[in-house]
Amino acid sequence: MDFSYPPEAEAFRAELRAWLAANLDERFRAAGAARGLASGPEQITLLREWNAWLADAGYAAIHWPREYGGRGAGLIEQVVWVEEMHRAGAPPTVNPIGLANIAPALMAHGSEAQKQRFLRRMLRGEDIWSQGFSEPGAGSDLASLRTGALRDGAHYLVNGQKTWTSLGAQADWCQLLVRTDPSAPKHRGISCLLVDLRLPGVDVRPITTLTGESDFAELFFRDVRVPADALLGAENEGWRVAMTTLTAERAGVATLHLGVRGRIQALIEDARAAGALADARHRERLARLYLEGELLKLLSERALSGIVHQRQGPEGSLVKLVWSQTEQRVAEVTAEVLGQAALGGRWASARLAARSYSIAGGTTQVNRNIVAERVLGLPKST
Amino acid sequence: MNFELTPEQEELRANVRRFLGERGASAPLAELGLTGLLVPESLGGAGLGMLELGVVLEECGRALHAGPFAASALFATRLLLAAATPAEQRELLRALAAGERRAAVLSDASLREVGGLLSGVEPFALEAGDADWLVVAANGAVFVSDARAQGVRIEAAESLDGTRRLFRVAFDGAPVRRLGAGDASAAIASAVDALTAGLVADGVGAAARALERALDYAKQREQFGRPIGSFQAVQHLLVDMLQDVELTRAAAYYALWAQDAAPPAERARATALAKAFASEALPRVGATAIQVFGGVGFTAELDIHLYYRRLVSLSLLHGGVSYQLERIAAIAFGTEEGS
Repeated sequence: MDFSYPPEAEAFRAELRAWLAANLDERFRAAGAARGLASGPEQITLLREWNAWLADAGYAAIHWPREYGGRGAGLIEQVVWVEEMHRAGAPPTVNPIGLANIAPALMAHGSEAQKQRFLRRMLRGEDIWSQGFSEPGAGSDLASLRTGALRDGAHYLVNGQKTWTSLGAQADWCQLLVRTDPSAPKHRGISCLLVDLRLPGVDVRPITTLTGESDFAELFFRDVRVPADALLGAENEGWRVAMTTLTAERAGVATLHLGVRGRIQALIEDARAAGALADARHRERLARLYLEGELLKLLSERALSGIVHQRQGPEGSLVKLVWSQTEQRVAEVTAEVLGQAALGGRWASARLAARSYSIAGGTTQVNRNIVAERVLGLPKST
Repeated sequence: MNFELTPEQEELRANVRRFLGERGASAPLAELGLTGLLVPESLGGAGLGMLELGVVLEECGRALHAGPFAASALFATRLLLAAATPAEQRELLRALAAGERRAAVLSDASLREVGGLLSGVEPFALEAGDADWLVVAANGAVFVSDARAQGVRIEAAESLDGTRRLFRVAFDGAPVRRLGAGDASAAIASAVDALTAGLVADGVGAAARALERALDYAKQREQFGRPIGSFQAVQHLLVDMLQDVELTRAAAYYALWAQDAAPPAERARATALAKAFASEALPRVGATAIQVFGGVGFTAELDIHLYYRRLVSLSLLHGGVSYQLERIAAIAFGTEEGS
C-alpha cells in the first residue's frame, strides 16, 4: 500500500495550483460561492467567462483527449484537479453535465460534423448542456420513457415532456432521449437527439424545489421539428448512447468526500465558536460525524485504487449510498449541536437541500436494489 | 494511490485459508511458521509487517479460529519489539517466533507493580491460559512473569464470545521482571494500537463470512414460492451488511498500514477510526445475519450466532465505541475546557 500520488500527478497539482493562484480572481470565486449553478443570469455570465478561462488554459475538461482541448488526463490527475479546485474555492464548471456526461457520448458516437460543431463551444461554456432523460412516468424506470420522435423527411417531429432536467432553465442545448420505435422492446426503440432548446415548440418551465431554488426544469416539446442530423449514434441505439454517458462519472464519485468533509470541518469550527465542543454529548455526535466522513474518504480511496489497479471491487457501488447518508447526517447533527441557530442561515438551507441527496442520481432504494442484484448476485426483486 | 494487498499478501491469505479449511478452528498456526511473522529475520522470524499479520487475522476471523495466536504473535511480539532490550528480545522473541513458547499481554489499568511484585486483575485477557509468559504493561513500564509463578491465578473467563479464548488473570504479589528501561508508555500505546487494528481485521473476516453465509441462505431458502433473497426487504438488509463490511475493511487496511508506515499521531487516529466504526458496524452485521436466517438463526444448532458473539466481543475488547469516539474527538478537535 502506498497512498502517495505519482510524481506526474503531483507536478500537475503544482502547475494547476499556481495557475489558480494567478487567475482565480474574487469575482469568479464569489459567483461560484453565491448559489452555485442555480444562479441568476449575471452569475451565469461570469461563470461562463470563468469556464472559458479554464478552457483556454486546458483546465476545463482535463479528462478529454488533447485533440478536443483536454489533457487526456487519467483518473488520478482528475482527482487532483477536483482536490485543487476545491482547495482554491474555484467555482464549478458552468457545464458539468456537458463536460462529464454528454461529451463522452459525443466523442464515442458523434459524427465528425457533430464533434466539430459542439465540443469546442461546450468546453468553453458557450453552450450550456442539459440531459432530457426522466419523464413524469419514467424516473427510476428510465427505459419506459414515452417522449416520441417521428421521422418526417429531413426532420424528427418531437412531442412529449421531460422533467427533473438539471440546468434545464440555464441550458442552450439538450441531449434528449426519445422513443423512435414504439413497437420495439422498451430498451430497443430509443434514440438520442441533440436538441437546440431555442427551437419553436420547446417550452422550458423551471421547477421550484423545496428549498425555493430552481435547480431543475420541465421541458415540454410540442411538434418540435428537430433536424435529422441531430441524431447521435444510430436510430434506436439511444439507450447504448445514454449508457456511454453514465459510465463516465467515476472520478466524480471518488471525490464526493471532499465537499462533505469540508462541511463537517466547518460545522466543527462553528461548534467550537458556539462553545459546544466542551459538551460531552456534542463531542460524541461530532466525533461520530467526523468518523463517517473519514470512512467515506477511505472507501472512496479503495474505490479509486480498485479502478487504477483493475480490481473489481464493490466499493464504487457503495460510495453514493454512504455519501448521501453522510451528507444528511451533517444536516441533522448541525441542528442537534447548534440548536436554534440552525433554524436560519446557511445551515438551514443546507438542511433542506440535503433531502435531495438520497433521491438525485438514483434513489437510495433503487441503488440498494442495483447493488443487491449486480454486486451480491441476488435474484431480481419482483 | 495503491490501496491494494500485494500478490504475496493474497497468496499468504490463500495458504492460511486452505490450512484453516483443512484443520479447523483450532489449527496450530505455528505449523505454518506464522508465530514469527512479525519477528525480524535476525531473531528467526519472517520479518513481515502488520498488513501480513492482518491478512492472517482476517482469515482467523473468517474461520472463527479459537487461537492461541494474536496474543503472542501480535500483541506480545509488538510490545517486546518496542520496549525490550536487544538481549531480552533475543531471549524471548526467538522462542516465540519458533513456536516453542507463547506469551500473552496484560494491560488493564488496575495492574500495579511495587518492588518487583505485581497486583491487580485483568478480567478478559486474550489467550492468557495458553501462555508460558505473561507480559505486563503497568505503571508505564513493561514486565514479564512466568505464567505459573506464585501469586498468578489464571482461570477461563465466562464470556458471551464462545469462539475466542479469554481468561481472568489475577495477580496477588506475583514476582515480575522489568523489561527495557525508561518510560515505555509510547511502546505500550503502539502495541495496543497494533492489537486493536488486528482485532478489527479479524472482525472484517468474521463479518464478511457471516455476510456470505446469509447471502447463500437468502439465495437458496424459499418462501411464498421464491427465494427470500428476491424480496427487497431482505435484499436491503444484505446490502447494508455489505456497506458495513466494506467500510470497515477500508478502515482496517488503512489502520494496519498505519501501524508500520505512519507517524504515531496518524497511527493513533487510523486505529481509533477503525475500532470506533468496527465496534458499531460489525456487531450490526452479525445481528443482521441472524435476522436473515430467521428462526433457525436463533438456534444453537446453527453456528451463525458464533459470528455475532465474536463481533460483539470485538466491539468491547480494547476500547468500545464511546472510548474510541472520545479518542477521535481529542485528535480531531483537541481537548476543550469542561470536557
